Amino acid sequence: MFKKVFFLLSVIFLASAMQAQTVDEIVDKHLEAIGGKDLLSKIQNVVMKGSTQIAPGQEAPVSITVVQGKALRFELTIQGMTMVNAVNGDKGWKIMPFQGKKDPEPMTPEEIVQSKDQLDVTGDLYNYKTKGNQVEFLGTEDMEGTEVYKLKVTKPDGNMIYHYIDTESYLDLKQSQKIKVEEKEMDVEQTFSNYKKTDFGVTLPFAMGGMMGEMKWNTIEINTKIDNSIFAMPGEKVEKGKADTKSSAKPKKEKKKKESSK
Amino acid sequence: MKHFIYLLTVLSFTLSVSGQNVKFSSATIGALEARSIGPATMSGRITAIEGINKEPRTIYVGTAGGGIWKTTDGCSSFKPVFDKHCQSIGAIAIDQARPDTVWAGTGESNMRNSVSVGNGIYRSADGGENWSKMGLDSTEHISRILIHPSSPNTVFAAVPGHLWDNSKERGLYRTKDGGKTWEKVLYIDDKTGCAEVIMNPANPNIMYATMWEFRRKPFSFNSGGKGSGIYKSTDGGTTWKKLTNGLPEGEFGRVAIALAPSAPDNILAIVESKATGLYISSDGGASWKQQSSSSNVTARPFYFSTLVVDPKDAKRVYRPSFTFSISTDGGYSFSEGGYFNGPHPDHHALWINPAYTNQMYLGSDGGVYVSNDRGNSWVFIQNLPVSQFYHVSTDLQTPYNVYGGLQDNGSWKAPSQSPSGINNKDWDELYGGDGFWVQPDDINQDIVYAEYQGGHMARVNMKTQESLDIQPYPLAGEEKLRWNWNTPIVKSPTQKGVLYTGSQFLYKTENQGTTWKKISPDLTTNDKNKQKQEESGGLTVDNSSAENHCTIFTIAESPLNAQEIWVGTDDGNLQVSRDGGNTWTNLTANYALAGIPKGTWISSIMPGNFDKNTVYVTFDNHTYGDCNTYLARSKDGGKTWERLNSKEFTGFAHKILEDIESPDLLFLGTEMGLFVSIDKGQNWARMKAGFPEYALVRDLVIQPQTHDLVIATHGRGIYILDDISPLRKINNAMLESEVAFIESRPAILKSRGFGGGYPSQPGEFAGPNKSEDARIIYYLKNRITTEEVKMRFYDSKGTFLYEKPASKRKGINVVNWDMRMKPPKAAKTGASLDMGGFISPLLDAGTCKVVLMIGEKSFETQVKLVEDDKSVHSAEDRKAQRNLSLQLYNQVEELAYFTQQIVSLQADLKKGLNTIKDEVSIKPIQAFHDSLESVRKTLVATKEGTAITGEEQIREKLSSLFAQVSFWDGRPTDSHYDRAKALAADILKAKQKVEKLSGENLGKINSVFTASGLPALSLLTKEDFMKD
Repeated sequence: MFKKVFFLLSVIFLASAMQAQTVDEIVDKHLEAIGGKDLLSKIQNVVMKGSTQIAPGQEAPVSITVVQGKALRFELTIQGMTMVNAVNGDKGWKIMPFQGKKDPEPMTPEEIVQSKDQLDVTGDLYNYKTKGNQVEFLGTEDMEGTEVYKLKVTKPDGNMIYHYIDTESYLDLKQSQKIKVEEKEMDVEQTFSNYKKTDFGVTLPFAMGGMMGEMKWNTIEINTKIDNSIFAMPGEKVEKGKADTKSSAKPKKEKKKKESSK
Repeated sequence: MKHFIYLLTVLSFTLSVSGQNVKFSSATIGALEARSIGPATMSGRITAIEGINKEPRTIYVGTAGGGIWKTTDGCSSFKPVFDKHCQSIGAIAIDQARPDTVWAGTGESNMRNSVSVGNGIYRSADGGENWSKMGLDSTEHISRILIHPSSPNTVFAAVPGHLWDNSKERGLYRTKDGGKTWEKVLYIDDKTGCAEVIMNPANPNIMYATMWEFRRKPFSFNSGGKGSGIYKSTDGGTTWKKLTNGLPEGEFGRVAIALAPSAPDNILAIVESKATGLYISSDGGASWKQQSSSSNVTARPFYFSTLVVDPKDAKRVYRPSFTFSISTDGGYSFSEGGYFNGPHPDHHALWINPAYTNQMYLGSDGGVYVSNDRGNSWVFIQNLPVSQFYHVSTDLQTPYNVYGGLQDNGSWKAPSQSPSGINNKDWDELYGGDGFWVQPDDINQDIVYAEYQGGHMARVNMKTQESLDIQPYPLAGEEKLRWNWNTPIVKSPTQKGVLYTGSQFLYKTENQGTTWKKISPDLTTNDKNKQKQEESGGLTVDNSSAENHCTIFTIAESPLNAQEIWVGTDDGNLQVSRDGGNTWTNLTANYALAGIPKGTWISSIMPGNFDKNTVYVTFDNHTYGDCNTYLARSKDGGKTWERLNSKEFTGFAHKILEDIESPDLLFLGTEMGLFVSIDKGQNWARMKAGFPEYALVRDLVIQPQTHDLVIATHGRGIYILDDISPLRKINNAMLESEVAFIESRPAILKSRGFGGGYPSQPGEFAGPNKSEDARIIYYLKNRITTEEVKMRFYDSKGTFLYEKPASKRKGINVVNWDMRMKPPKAAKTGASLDMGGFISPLLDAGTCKVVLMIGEKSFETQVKLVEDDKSVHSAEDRKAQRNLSLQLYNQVEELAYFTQQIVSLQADLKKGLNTIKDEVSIKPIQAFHDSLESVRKTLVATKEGTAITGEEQIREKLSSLFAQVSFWDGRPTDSHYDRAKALAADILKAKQKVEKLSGENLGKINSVFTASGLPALSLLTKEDFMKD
């Protein structure tokens, strides 16, 4: 009798204590928490508008426009001057105006690679196998006092990104990775908070913290109308620019068709 | 049935506890982060260096007590990568074929008296970012890890094992499954471990290992025994044969062994024995010949066990030892590398870049050195703050200074705060040898008391650079004095100028060590069997005072009663006198009743700051092989004791500290961590915030003016946890609330201007300063992930200033506030940014409202801003500064508004120019636009180009003046006032010009605009300017 009870109790204890999680369980619950695979699969573009403080109380407008897998434009405006980072297919350019130079210039190959990394707005974990990402569960960890699942994502190019998933909400609280600037390796961290459900239905962080402080988003629009010319480097030959935006727009339409034909 | 009910009770109790009660934990300490201040100018003992052969700018450095540091940029910067684990490192190995796989063996194997212990072997699969424990948990010391070059799941670990007791957890271990399971492939007995293992790179089945019998006792050391020897395997480590042919007769001690990678049958071994020397074999160990036995080759074999052959040149042999010896003839003769300007003595690790063998990295007792000429000259790496402190003290200056003694690196002093951070240059050496206690004199700021090993203490005058030996000597006819290696020099907390020290007797001085009064009999057990240090060492005599025993180790005078003095000895005696030393009571039997082993090292005593009957004591029994954490408290003056324990505790205990304001707050430092209790020792939490989780914490002190906790680590230098007062205010009730503010100290208004302090160079360590911002501190029960968290600031009149994002972590959060206004609004024009838009005046003193917003909920608190009563500027001068700063602030914003008016007018005119086609109408519009442009060009620099065009217009001049005045606390200069006036006049002139131009043109142009269907021009209002 006692043995049996003890056994039962042990089972209860073990069940609650161990809760052995597999990568796919964590990933699935995480994707569920941010809106589900179905919704994520439908994201074609995202436009985020908000601001970051560059001095106490001084909000600098920020915007990010991403066409899923194709193009990206980041803008930060201080005192009327706008810094731009843009990637269009395999090309990238930037404007760094704050010290007197307002002409666009090309990104370095490393910068292009890193920026392209951000073209996937659905994240490393959604469809990770198809994307060629390897995901490893490293165990639970204490992240600033909160218990998280630590996942290591290895991208096809060998880059590693760590995700810190809240064990209660399954939201991604932090990502960290190494970034190479020229020859120099740097640790970069980004934290996520103020998760809200968007009109589109996915739940996204409306605040993102990093080395430069916190960025807050006032609006996040998904699958909105985007003028593709914003991704072309100003002064680029018109035909070339057109060709680029076209080619970036085309597959999207095809995708749409495919989806609607399903 | 009883059992069943019991079980259910346990179950429900467990559930209810986890369901409701929030416990004080590491998470609670949250953002109260400690800061590291070094030093790296004098680093600490290095135990392992391994680089990636194919990418030799990536190097891992293992340390005696500071974890693992990694550089990926050839030592320009280092990052600690082992801060969640045991800090004592014995070995590092990189899988060179897959260099992201790195192994680390914990527990250094340089078996000196102060050596720490490890807790197993670890593996990382991502270049040191994450580590998994792979077993060998109870081995305590691991000296070498070898990874099989072609089958990386086969790994060997050379395990010397326990130093202080018998243990079967030693020998040579092998895993074939990447560390899941281990087998002992070479084992002699429970006294003999494996010191070294090497592998023939051409044929990994051929291996050599050296076995070593050794033992420390608290009072002696022995290296050597029947178990020691050199062994060879030809089947990948499965079977082993002892090698003897040509090796010395009799017992061996520690044997260092190496082979020439370019000619792997050439093997060299330094054999500790009756005929210690270097022996070589050219036939794979079948026969041996004695070569050099020069002193550096044979020096301290138990401590210097490194021997390396050049990767390409079989004749070139390196012997890092006391000094760095080089042989060019295969070990027959040796010369000194870098003899005249060489690295710190005592070497333990050497890594040679195989692609460029001129380059090598040497690990010493004082850090890492690089040579680019095969060991003849060296460059010191200045950014590894792995210094090993024994004790720490502070003074009462502003900013206060930190003093302490370092293992093998003397005694040092540094300010707790320094312009541009605490850099290498801020650390001053006070005294030599191994440093331990340093005490600043209470009265004379130039005087400190410092010592080196064995009680050699001195009064040092830092101004004149003189030092006087003040160690008490035995009186005529008196027995020999026994001084601990780490002899206490302790100040009275109640009487200025009173110092205590102790041999087997306690001494007191009231005149800076000129006269010492013996105030006790022999307080130790005086066990003669523990006093034979001359015989210590084993095969090689090693009597450095490190084994001195039956000595006084700790002294503490009660802060509440100058007559009450406590003494603890290294042989377990806990003694108290309540009459200033006339009579003594031995309390050893009393503490033993609480389950603490007798004969333990009494590591620290803390007579209560609040209750005269309360006393806390830590006990360290690791020298008998017992690494338990022993902390006990008596509430009746030492009659009865209760042991305070916690599941959190790891490591043997060094220091207990009771807070100076709250009797509830305790700190405990152990060999593996710092622990905090907010409830008198019932519950404990490990300190993790900004602090290595298993740091070797040797000493703790609270600086009484700043309430900073100053932490002496034995491997990570000094850490400071600034202002611990929030920890005093946390209580169990607060832990249950969702949000709670913790009152912070009034913040001092200071400009914190420029001047002084060249920042550290790249490649040099710099520790951060304490923040001088106002701190808003609050507790959150849980991390906020689905709400916006921000903070709103108000001035003392209640005017809203601005809001900014706020911290949202679980536990204590800290938001820093610079106590300034919101910077002035800048105009959107000009060639570069207006720096004036980032600067603002300090607020006035007063109590300011601060509101924490979590989503829709708001929580209000107050923060007090006070004037700096230590300022060298009069209140009147400070007021003058604030006034001018504020005036310039308004001027900057006015100018920005005016400039923006012009810019937007120009934009509107441009629209007209683009729309209106009639040339006659266009002309005056263009002319008006151009006249405005000529004014704009006098207001802001417009020359585009690189950062330094050198162009300065009114805006640049005004912003520069604004900055100069705003980062200064006293009266501005006359030039500042004159300049402000002149610039105001310039602005006025420009305004008048624009007014005149507008008067002349606006009417005319507006009629053209209206006729063309364009809106009439109007000047931008201030409201619209501020809004945008």
